Amino acid sequence: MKKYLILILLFLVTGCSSYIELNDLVIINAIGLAKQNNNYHLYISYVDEINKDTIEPTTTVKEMEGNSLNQIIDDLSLILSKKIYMSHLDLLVINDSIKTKELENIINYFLNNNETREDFLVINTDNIKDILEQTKFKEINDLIENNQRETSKTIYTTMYDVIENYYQKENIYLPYLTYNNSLTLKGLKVFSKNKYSLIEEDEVIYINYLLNKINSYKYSYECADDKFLYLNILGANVNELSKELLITNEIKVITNDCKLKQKEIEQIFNKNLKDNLEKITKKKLTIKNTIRGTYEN
Amino acid sequence: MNYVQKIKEESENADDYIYKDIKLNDNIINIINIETITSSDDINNFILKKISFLENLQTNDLVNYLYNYLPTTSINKIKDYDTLKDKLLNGYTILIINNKEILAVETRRNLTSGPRETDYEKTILGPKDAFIEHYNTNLGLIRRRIKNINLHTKSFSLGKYTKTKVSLLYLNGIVKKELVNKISKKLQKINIDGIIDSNYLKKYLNTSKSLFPTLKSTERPDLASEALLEGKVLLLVDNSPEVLILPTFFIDFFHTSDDYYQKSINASFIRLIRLIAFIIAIFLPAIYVALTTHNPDSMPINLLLSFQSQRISVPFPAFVEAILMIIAFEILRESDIRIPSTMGSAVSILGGLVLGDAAVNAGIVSPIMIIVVAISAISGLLIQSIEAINSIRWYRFLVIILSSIFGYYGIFLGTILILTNLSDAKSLDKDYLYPFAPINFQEQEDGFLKISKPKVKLRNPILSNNKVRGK
Repeated sequence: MKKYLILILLFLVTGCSSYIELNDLVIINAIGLAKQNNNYHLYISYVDEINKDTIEPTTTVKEMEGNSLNQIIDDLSLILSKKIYMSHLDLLVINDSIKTKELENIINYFLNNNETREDFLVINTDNIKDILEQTKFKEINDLIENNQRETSKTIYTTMYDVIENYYQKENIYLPYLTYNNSLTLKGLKVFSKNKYSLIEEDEVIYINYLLNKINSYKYSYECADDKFLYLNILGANVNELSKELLITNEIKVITNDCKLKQKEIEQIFNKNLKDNLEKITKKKLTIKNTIRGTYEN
Repeated sequence: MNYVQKIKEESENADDYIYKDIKLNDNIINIINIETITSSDDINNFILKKISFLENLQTNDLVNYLYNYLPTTSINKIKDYDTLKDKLLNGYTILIINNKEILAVETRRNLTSGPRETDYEKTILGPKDAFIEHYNTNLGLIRRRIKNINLHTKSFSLGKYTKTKVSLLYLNGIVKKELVNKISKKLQKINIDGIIDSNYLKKYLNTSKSLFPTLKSTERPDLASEALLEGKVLLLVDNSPEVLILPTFFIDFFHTSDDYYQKSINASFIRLIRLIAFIIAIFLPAIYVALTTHNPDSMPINLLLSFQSQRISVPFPAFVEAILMIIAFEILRESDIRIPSTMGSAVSILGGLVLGDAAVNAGIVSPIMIIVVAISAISGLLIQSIEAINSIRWYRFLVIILSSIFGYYGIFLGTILILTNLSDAKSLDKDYLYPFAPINFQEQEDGFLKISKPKVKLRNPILSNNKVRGK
């Protein structure tokens, strides 16, 4: 008898009863969010069906307005007569109208909703509707991922990063994209002290140094007329000590037209790095390099 | 008592009971046999012909004379009427001399043909012969493999009406005597009208509540012989083409005889495939139901959308669809077993191809559900025991129901229920999950993996005190 009681309790204490048929779901893959006239303006991109020729999901973007996220999502559910399903949300697009208060509401919404994850991409743009209607998530995702990996000129930011930085009161970095017939990455938007500021692509490299997220990037220097030094920085490790930043770069020399010596290459590269980093931080820098490639000994 | 009269009364003059009276000098010999189970050639050549030569015999002790004179070793003097009946019904010819003394001469007719080929325990390598419905042939098939004087039998006559011969077969010196005694006691307690087949005994020997079979029947003499060498006991039942192996462990259903006829690495691979197939057979439909009704977040979006698009026209919930498909498969399987083999291909084409395709086109079931149920059903057939396959069916239903209510949590609960059910099970008081629970690493060398160990090979310690093989 006791074991049957335990069994019944096991069944009843689950709270896991969430039966829903697949055809009753509206699968949301991207959300755009802006604040207008004290109301949230929500752009919801949901999957209609799979295109059987291209095997790609076709999406529809719907615009809704309301004074809270919950209310808008509930309204959408009523309009479509289906359950709103956000577990496969890939993208959140916001613009500069989303400030601290709105950001907190968004964070609360996703943290309180146990059907969503926090690993979706978050970007900033001025053209929310265009981006959701004219581009595909894969296009945006590939653009940001490739740029971060190959040029270090952006930062792939997920909702999890946003939440973490928000609660640790640190800067929130969001990739900034524009759409004018084609998708373009324009650098980073930094949200700090209730306002956004833009960091140009070239400067993002140094933000990545400070965040120790630097991947490979290219460095060029004109050492004489029409003669260049091209370096490929393969990666760097940044250790933040109390009053010092210790940076170790791994560098490959691609072109060395002026036949510079190793020390000269280091001096040129280190000076550029120091100048740019000192603009952002006042810490003392110690730079070590491992250089491979062609140079004079 | 007039024996002939009594037999006539009790059998109500059954027309295959043959009565013949021979007057030999001053003696009257009543000969009785049942023609449907006796060999008339044997009776004519070894009894009647010999008696006809005794016309001028002068003896006062005809019984002893016949006992020594008739050319057979299988002749018994009978003292009472009950034994007379037993012998008569077992194919003996009864000679009643002057209604006082009785002789029973074995004249059984061979009602079966020779050993047949295996039917449901097929292997590519190894012997192909199988047990038949004849006790002596079956015993002979084992004796031919184990030529050892320690191969002992212990016989019982079970069934109030059938008086079926049931024999315990074991290798003395390897088997634990307690096991033989325990089975003997259980057999002696059986009170039943008749034993028609060895499978009748299962319910008397099997006390476990597990859905999974805790006794294994086999049609293969090589598998039965291997079990004897392991220290197990066989139950041979007359008229049954299957031999029971006792005790049986869960792992035994993942072993086939040809595992021992090939390289260990190949046997291990096939055993792992069987294990994976077992898991797929039970859990795949449940996982599909959980994915589509509770946990779509576990799927990549493209797969989710593919499932969604396939289910658009299906009017039933995924759970109902799964149950309908499984029942449809069971109907097909049952019809395939029952109908003559000449019609089998027609049913396969009609049931499998035409109906399956039509059901998808009509929007009654989704293609993915057909794939899921088909994979699950085919996986379940990798295990050779029909009872194990049937138990998989019930576990499959249990897990599907739980998964349709609780999703993955239901599958988790179902897994716990199955594991507790299996670990609670015993086969003749031996732990069913041995050598996994209780754990025995040495025995696991021939568990889900088969490890080649040319040096010392040990016997299962819970089955035998004679631990080292080859000694």
